[in-house]
Amino acid sequence: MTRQRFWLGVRYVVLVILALLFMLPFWVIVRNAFSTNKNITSATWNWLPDQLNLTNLTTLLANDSIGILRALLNSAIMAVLQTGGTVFVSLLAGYALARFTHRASRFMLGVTLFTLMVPVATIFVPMFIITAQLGWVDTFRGLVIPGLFSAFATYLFRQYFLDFPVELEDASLVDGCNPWSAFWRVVFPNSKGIVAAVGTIILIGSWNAFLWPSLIGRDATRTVQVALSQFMTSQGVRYPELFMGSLIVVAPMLVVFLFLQRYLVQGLTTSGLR
Amino acid sequence: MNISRRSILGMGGGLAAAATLVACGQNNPMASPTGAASPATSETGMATGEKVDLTQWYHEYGEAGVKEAVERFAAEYEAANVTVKWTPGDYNSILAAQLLTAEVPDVFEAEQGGSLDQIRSGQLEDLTELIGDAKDQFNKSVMKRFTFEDKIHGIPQTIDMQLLYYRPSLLKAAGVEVPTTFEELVAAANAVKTSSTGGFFAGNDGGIGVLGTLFIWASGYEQLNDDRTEAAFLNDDFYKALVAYRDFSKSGGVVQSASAEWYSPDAFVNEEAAFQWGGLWSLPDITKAFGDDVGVMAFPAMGAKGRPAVPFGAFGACVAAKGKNVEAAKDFVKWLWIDQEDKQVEFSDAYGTHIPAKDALVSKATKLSSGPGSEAAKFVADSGFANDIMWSGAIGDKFNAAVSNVIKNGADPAAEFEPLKDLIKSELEKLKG
Repeated sequence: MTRQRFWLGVRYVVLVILALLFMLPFWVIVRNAFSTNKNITSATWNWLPDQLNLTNLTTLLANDSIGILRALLNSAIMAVLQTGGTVFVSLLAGYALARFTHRASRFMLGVTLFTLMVPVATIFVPMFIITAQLGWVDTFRGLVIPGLFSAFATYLFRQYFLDFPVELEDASLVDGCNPWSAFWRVVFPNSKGIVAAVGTIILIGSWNAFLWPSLIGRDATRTVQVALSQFMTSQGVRYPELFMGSLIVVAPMLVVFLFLQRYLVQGLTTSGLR
Repeated sequence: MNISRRSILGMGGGLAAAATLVACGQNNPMASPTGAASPATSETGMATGEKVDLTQWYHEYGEAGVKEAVERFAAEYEAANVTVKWTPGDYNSILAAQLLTAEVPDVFEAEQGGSLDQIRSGQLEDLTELIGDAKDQFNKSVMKRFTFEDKIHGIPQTIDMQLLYYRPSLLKAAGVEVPTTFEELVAAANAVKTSSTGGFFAGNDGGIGVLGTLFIWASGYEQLNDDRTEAAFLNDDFYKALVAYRDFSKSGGVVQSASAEWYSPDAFVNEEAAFQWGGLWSLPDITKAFGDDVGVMAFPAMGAKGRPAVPFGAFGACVAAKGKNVEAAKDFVKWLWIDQEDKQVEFSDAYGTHIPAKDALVSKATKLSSGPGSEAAKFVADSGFANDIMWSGAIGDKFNAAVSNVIKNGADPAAEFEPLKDLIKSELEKLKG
């Protein structure tokens, strides 16, 4: 018994040490957000901030050329639209790929999986040219619509629906539903777990997106990740404002994580992501 | 009519979807009715009178006031309505993508006056005639780099450079002179270092990232031969230079880790190193910290055939060849970057520390009129080097990997660089088409 307690204690100690190590970068964000540049770039490591007031926050908010509040709103609009749109499209596509098993369906599944294997960087330029031809640069359409189809989300939904009991759908069809109403009245209400899981993953990815928004989001639709990059220029990095901005940007996703962590874990487990 | 919870939710969902579509269609629900026009543009975005509309792109300069200054310059131009677009983020990638579309900026900055891809694909208007004899007024090292196959595609705006900072008082206390060769730099760095202050700092990778190509120039060679058919530096002098720097690193004279990177003045200001490789842009912060006790020098000569070297970079104002108003854009570029010398000095000197592209304007820049700034300006003309236009990313990556293997992993330089001979040759053949 004593031996078991000893090893349990050791495990706890190791886990606490590992947790602290993983928390260290977040502490550095907090420390730097409330520090002067001198404290951040000091020759000796300082554990504590030296400016525990709102100076960096007011400087950040007062900087009109950065426009952090507007950028936060743009990011929120983009993330919500992208998440809602992607889940809607992928949910239907995934369901169709799971239920229809003829040759065309298998071909579409192959094409969908193939898009997962194409490096994103290779399709960026053609995607940008098409978006620009449509006149969607610096618009929310340009930010959201090109990313609406997610092969990853579609495949996750398809795998989920493969295990979904067809008997429930058959029963609803007997009761007078057509396939469309059966999907929304029976299948969808019973799939909220996977919808929340995939939605959470898409939401976090969309909020953190940088490359595409940096190409498309200009003055009117600049997202917060791109806005923060303005603190890093060829003439140096403005650390205090950058980290204060990072702290603000992390906050909404922390709230999302706190409320949806169960679904996030479920999504990561289902997808095999680490 | 019975209203159920489901129908209310349905209506709510419909309204939300409609609002979403409205938000998408409007592009920006927070936008003011007139949009965000720069001072140089009319509220409607339409041309006023006979004037044409031009767009001018800049990358994001870090110094406060530059954006407002260039918007003012544009507003003062009377022959066209010029809208300034300030582009944060990865400017080169954004510009490269935009130049592939139909909506190209009329005037834009390009590093070193345009890349090989931009020139070869016909994206840049030939500005050779536009600059004409005025090219002799510009810094000769910069103009050499801006000229490709006897053509000029960009008008230099301002010059940035890297150089070596030191503290004369520390050298005096240690009884050493300002080094003029790499051997003297090694001796001086080891002499001035103390338990709290290191010798030489050039980045947290030991300096190999920023100094790599400098070893070519400082050992007395160029990256490519005159015909750009093969490498011009793969010889014993260059290999010895790499080994000399490796020995310097091993001797403890090179600070391997500091509180900031080489491009920031912080490590030097914190007295973490007695010598620091840095940018001219750091000069105001360094002189603020140490007053007159600041010296600057080029990277010293390495080996018998060596020579001092500093890398420089300059953005050039280019005109898009497929712009809608090419002639108007060229007139604007000439007006701003060739004729308006007061604005050129202000652009270089009023907000940060840069070197005006025209030699005669250097003395008018207050930060360069005397002291370290004045010396730095001379380095570019006398010892300035920039990557050859055909030094491609593929060559650069292989070169950096080989330099790293020699200095960090102790590889034999001759063996390590042997594969680069053929690689550079084939890459150049490919680039020449």
